[in-house]
Amino acid sequence: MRKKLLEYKNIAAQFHTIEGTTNTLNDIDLTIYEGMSLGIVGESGCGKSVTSRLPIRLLPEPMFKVTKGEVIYHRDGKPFDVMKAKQNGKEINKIRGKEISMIFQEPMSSLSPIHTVGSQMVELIRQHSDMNKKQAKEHAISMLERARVPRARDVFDDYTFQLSGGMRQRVMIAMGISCSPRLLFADEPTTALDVTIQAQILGLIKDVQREQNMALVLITHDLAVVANMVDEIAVFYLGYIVEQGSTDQVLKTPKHPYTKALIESIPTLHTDQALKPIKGSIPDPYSKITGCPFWKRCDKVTDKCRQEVPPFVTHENDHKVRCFEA
Amino acid sequence: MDYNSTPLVQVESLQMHFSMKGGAFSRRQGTIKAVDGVNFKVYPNETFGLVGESGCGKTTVGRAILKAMQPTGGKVLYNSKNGETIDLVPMTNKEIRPYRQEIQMIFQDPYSSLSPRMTVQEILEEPLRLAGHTNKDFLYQKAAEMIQQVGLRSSHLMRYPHAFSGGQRQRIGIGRALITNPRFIVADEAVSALDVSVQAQILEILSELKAKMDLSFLFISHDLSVVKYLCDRVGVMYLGRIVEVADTDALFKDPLHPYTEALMHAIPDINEREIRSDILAGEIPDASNPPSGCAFHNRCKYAKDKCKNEVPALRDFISTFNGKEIFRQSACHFVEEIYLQSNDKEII
Amino acid sequence: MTSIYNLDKNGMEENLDIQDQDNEIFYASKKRLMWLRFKQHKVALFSAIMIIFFYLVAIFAHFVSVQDINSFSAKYTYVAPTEIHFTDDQGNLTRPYINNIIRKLNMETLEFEYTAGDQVYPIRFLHRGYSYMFLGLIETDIHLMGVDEGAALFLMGSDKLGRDIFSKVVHGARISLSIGLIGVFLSLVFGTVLGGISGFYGGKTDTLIQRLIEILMSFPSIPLWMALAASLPPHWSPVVVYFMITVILSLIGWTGIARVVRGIVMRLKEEKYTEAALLSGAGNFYIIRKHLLPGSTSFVIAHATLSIPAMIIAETSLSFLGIGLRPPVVSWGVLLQEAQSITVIANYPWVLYPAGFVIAIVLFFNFLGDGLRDAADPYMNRA
Repeated sequence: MRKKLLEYKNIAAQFHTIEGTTNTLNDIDLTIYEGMSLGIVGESGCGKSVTSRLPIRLLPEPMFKVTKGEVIYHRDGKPFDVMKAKQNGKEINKIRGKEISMIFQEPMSSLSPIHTVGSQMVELIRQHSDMNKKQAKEHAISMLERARVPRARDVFDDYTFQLSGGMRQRVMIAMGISCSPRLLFADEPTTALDVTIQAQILGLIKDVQREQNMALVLITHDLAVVANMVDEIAVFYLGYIVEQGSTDQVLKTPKHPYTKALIESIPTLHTDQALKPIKGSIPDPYSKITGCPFWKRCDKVTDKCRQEVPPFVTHENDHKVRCFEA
Repeated sequence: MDYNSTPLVQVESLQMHFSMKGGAFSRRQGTIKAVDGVNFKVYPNETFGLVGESGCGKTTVGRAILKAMQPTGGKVLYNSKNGETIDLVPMTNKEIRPYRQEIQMIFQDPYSSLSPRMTVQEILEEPLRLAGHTNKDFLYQKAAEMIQQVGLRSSHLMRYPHAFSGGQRQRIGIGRALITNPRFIVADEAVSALDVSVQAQILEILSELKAKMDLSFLFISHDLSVVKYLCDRVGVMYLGRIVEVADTDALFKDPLHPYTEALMHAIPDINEREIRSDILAGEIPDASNPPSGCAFHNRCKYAKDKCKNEVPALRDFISTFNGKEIFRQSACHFVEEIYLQSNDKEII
Repeated sequence: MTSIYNLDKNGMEENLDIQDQDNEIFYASKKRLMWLRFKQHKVALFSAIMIIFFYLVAIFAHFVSVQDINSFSAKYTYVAPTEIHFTDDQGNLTRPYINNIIRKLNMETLEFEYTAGDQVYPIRFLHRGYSYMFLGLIETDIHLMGVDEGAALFLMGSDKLGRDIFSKVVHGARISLSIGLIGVFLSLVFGTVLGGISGFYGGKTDTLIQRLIEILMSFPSIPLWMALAASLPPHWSPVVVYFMITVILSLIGWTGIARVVRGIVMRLKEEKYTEAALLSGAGNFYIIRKHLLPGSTSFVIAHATLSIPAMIIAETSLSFLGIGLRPPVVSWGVLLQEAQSITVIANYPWVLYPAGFVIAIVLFFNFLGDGLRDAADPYMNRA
């Protein structure tokens, strides 16, 4: 029996801005179990990043508002409703950075340019533990080593701008795991990196996850990136989860037209299949769409699709799909 | 492809060195050799791909050819419409102006590449106006034709760029580049900023228009998969130099340079479930302080002593591929030992 | 290949349906989008209306004012603001009226004390008072309001020579508000030209202009103004002094605008659409006219609006210190000269009214400038 770690229960959320209101998340139902690895895949505006920031309340409230549902964080067998807590209160701060941590696409935006790598790590570690300065330093260096940072002791005293992009991402990973989190969100951790560095960093994330025995949620727009990284994949489109299942289910036997089209539209190096572009473009987030979020770009559209949002149906072997035709 | 015809563009030992005059507090001083002796040819109606990781100088090559930057050395020979071959490098801006409509560029960022203050019509007409056309009916007609060519409607001409999505903007950017009937296009990461589901559309449009309008492309990208899809021939760059050139199929089936091999190996495959253990280690070296000898030797699994001391030249080879003899180039000291079979030969 | 292209074409047709719910926003120019965003900024909109109102009052100063600012009366020195009544003795609503003023000498303090009498003087609108030239063209004696002979309407009290402070504030607005506009206009000219050259050409020209700006900025402004203002010959007519003061203010003021313009020009020069034009053979003049100027005007206007208040405050401070404008010219700073002594402020606090107007107009300009800046670039303050 897998133990639940984090649950999104029928979440609906909106962003209110001067330009209008966007339905950022719609009916998101997702459970993350202890030690699992999940890939969230989707294109711009699909709500994948918002999903990762929701449980640690990193979103600009009240511009961002959860209108329905709850986010339950399970700790020591006790459920804790994240949305009911105060945004920057004690309870959230305990979870944020310690029990659930994040690594971002551009490490520079979350690392301070005016402090050394070491001082930032020590501060973070001491905030979440009762180590003294010396212990914290040793712990930080061991974490840098675990993130395969060469010459960890020297890098400890470097400023972040002195490091290369790949090295910054390693430092970011070292920080992310320094408080032994139970869950690590990695939001496009390799999008800004070169392919050879990307391969290194992905391997590192996978190793670290195994060593730390933590749950991993890898967020990306690139299906190939998650293929060898995760056990399960959830495909997002316009704030909906359109398909969810094991990596093989989603990549080998996709049931949702969007997933299928996405796989066929990516040029790949390793096969010789012809490209099949998905028609149309991702709708403007402010436009109101009735029915299935994908019907305007779908080949198999029916009248029903235009009027009703398809339910998220569980097929054999826990393969979930949001499509009438599946 | 007819490789015996006159190349449309011929880049000869192109060089772009930046001198760094660091201040009193700067640790870095010296020269960055962003592009250091690059040679390649682009033939008529060919798409030549230039791939490499960040800092390899691929973008600089593109900008130097277009004279958006003044190269510090080398030649860019362009075979113009009226048949003469000119060297763009020593020419002044004024002297190049007549040829501008024959050489155009497609940019990476579909947002910053269209002026937010101009309608789509004004954007499309701009290159024609700059080429000296003033007749309003003619301009409108060309713009209307072009916008349909790239898959939008003439009713969109009155709109401003903010009315369009990234993919549609990129179509407009392509329209602007093609409206003067150019012969040579430099496309710098033309699909990198787009969502994956839209990328394929733009790639389609590009290859469709290439055939229709008799275009030649220099397609610069970091994405090998995209290059594989679109290009006829590919040059792989590493730290300011070209390390391998070959027909696309041959390059991706059996590369002749360890870097190309490693680069391909690093790309994740949707059908693989295990992390590869033998991925390329190390980082791209600092261009201001490149390794001695072969710039790749410190990351290369085949490296020997010779690689540390001698800079390898880009050598020509005749290789058998799919039963045909093809011409290709590689800058590795040990091509013969590592890759070549007995029936392949080197030509010098 | 062709079949895929056809599919793509069909795809576009479908796709266009999404974006083809013909929204006027799609056709909205940058200017119009700015206006739409600006409208959302209620405080800025209100400030804009108030600023327009202030300028209208300044233009029609004679019409709005109650008393000729050059006349004085020994009968009414330092009279407190007149109380306006809206109800009669029985508490019924009537048209607004005031009472006459009775002056009595307090034998203990030896000061005049004013109390309200019991005669009723209704406030008359479009009242005939002193005669003036309407907009400098037509002679007339119609004023917005006034009372009949026998009483005096001091909305904001009177000063030591018995002059109506309200009327003086209204007239002072002419100088105080126009000095900001003219000063900023001059700064704008210097700033745009020098900042533009600096940003466009870069290199040595840029370094030279930036050093000049740094030198100018490193001067402490108040002493510099004082020195420059003190060097103006005392026999110059008030109009010339007024003009010279604005020149002095803008000599310093242009530096800020020049830096903003330089930054914008450098950014626009890097934009890919500018590069696209260059690569199509555009010359410098074309780039400046088609891309740099249209791209920078909105920012420059927003920034200029934000620097008007500084000009107004500078003029007020100079005049308050007695080295800017001098009587008989009326400006808010000149008016505040009266409030230099603590005994005057303690006994006759209404002489501080002009300061309230300075604060109000400065706030309004700041709000308006903020609104314009946000509308010009809604993404600047995000992240």
